[in-house]
Amino acid sequence: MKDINLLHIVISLLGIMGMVSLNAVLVVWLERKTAGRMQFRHGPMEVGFHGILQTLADGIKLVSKQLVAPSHADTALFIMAPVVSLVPIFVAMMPIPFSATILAHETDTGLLLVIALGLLNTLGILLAGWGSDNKYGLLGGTRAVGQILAYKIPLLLTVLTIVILAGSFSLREIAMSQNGLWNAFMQPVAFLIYIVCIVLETNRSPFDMAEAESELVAGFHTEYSGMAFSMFFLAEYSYMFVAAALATVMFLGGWHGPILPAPIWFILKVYFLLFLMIWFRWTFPRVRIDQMLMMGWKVLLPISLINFLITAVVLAL
Amino acid sequence: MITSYVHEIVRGTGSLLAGMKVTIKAMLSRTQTVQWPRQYLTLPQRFRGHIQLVPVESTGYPKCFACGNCARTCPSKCITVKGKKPEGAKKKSPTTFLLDFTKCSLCGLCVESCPVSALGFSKDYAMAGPSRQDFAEMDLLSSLASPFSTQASKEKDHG
Amino acid sequence: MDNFIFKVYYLSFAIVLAQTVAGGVLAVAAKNLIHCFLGMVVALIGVAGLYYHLGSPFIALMQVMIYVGAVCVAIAFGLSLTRKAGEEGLKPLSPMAVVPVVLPAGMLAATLKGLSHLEKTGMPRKLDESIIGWQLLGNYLFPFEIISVLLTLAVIGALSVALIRRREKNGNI
Ligand code: SF4
Ligand code: SF4
Repeated sequence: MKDINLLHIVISLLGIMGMVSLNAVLVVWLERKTAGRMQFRHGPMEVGFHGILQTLADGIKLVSKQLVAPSHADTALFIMAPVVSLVPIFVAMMPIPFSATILAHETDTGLLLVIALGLLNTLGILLAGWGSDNKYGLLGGTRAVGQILAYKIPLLLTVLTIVILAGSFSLREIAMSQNGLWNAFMQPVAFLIYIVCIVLETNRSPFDMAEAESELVAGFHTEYSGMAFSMFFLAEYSYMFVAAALATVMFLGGWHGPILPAPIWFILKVYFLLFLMIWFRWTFPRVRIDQMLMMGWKVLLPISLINFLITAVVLAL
Repeated sequence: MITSYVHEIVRGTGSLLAGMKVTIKAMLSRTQTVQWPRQYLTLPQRFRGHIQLVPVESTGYPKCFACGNCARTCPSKCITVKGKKPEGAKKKSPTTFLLDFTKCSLCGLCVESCPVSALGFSKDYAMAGPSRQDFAEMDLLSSLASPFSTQASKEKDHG
Repeated sequence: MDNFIFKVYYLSFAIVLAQTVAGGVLAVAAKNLIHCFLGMVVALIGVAGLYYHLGSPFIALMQVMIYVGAVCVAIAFGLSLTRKAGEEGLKPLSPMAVVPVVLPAGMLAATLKGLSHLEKTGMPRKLDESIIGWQLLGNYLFPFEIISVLLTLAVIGALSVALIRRREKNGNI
């Protein structure tokens, strides 16, 4: 309780907000550009250099639009859902170490903090689906919940594998422990499982059953417009960033790397993972919900369990 | 059992990687679209846009002599031709040549049926307009020179 | 400065306490099922906040992760299959509601009385998380194992219930 420092908190929150918005602008641009190029198109070209400011323009458009709530919606839930979805991000960004010294808040339990808060996103999706009095929304929310049940255990098991390797829950120490060899090479299976899990966690294609535009219109955010919609949007891209940052810390050696300064390495690795997720999205078709559940329970869970056991035994010997 | 389980996973991962290879190749290759309206595509020789009247090379007047074959052949009845003889000419020349492009199916029968090959396909693909009327009565004569010198003679013909 | 920190601490403790109680009331009294669920989530997050204030962020995060992230989500999954048209407001409490109020209150009083000989330090002290691990696998190994057996039994029970249902439905398995 001694480390309450108001100024520190305010500055880091401002920094995180800036980071969140900048990241959304960049990743959305990257996503649309990649999507375009993968389909032999240009992607956005008009606003700014090669369309880099397109997201900003879209954001302004969204903010200036009216927020419409369906007449039978549960207004309290309807308004609360995007907030529940977005706000935990600001806290979850805090323990992420951009380098050995650049991090908003050092805690011993950083890894748990990020993962626990990441779960609240699903709660937001569920509330959105439920609150908007829309069948598509409800289906989307239900799917998101079914999804979280299937991937959470393998995700936690892979995380635990890394934790027993590094002997700490602190993100900074986990990154420090990989000064030489990255965990991605020591634990390739865990790395692959984690990659699948973060795509699942961020509800992105091929696991975007919660919004599945070809079946559910837009799933949980069908009824959302204007600012509330953009909050969901921001939340999705911020969760992508957080998940990729976590993967960088746990598997890609955090900020370690030759020549370039540490934070640059960190950002580069994070954006590489983000690009990978975008690449997945524009390559793979959406899986069915039963295929996803099958994969979660029959493939990810046993493999991650075996991997965890082997690691534990090897470490104990 | 366990071998088929492992085999399935390995095969699945392999096919995922194959897919990713396709998309990354596509990403690194040249884009096929152009930045319209700043750039236009070069269209192939046989591109079929809406029909247009072919001019006589020396005069620039339409070749058409308003026989009405095309209008009769058109399965959608979307051509309206009226014509009369300009002063001192042997053949008629169209005074009205309207195409209802909203109905045209670009079948090309009119082009085939014209005895003097006075119809062809244009290469205009960037067609958009604020109202339906812009395409319900497209005046194909407007892009060509007219053998009827004065506006008045046209008016009289319209009645 | 120390005084200020104490004030902030007590204030936020009071807020979290109020949040927990309000969530609990909402959870039992709301007519709409989803509002009950929401009340439970709020109360559980409040409990996590209480743990945090008592100097154990580890337990607090575990609380959020397991109760909010897993248990509540599983309940929500069940709930979303039973949607009932939106009723609003609170339902009247039945006289039986006295029991779950009085019982824990009595237990709390008994616990406080039993602990009254302990020294009051004012601020909770933060302990190293690894102590939890050593204690669980050392002093408390036996209860720890009992809990694992209990959980295994629960899983087997759930499986057998599911299988019996299926057998009744299909005639055979
Ligand atoms: S068939 Fe040819 S000549 Fe006859 S009216 Fe049509 S365009 Fe003119
Ligand atoms: S292309 Fe076919 S439909 Fe169009 S005007 Fe000619 S004959 Fe009619």
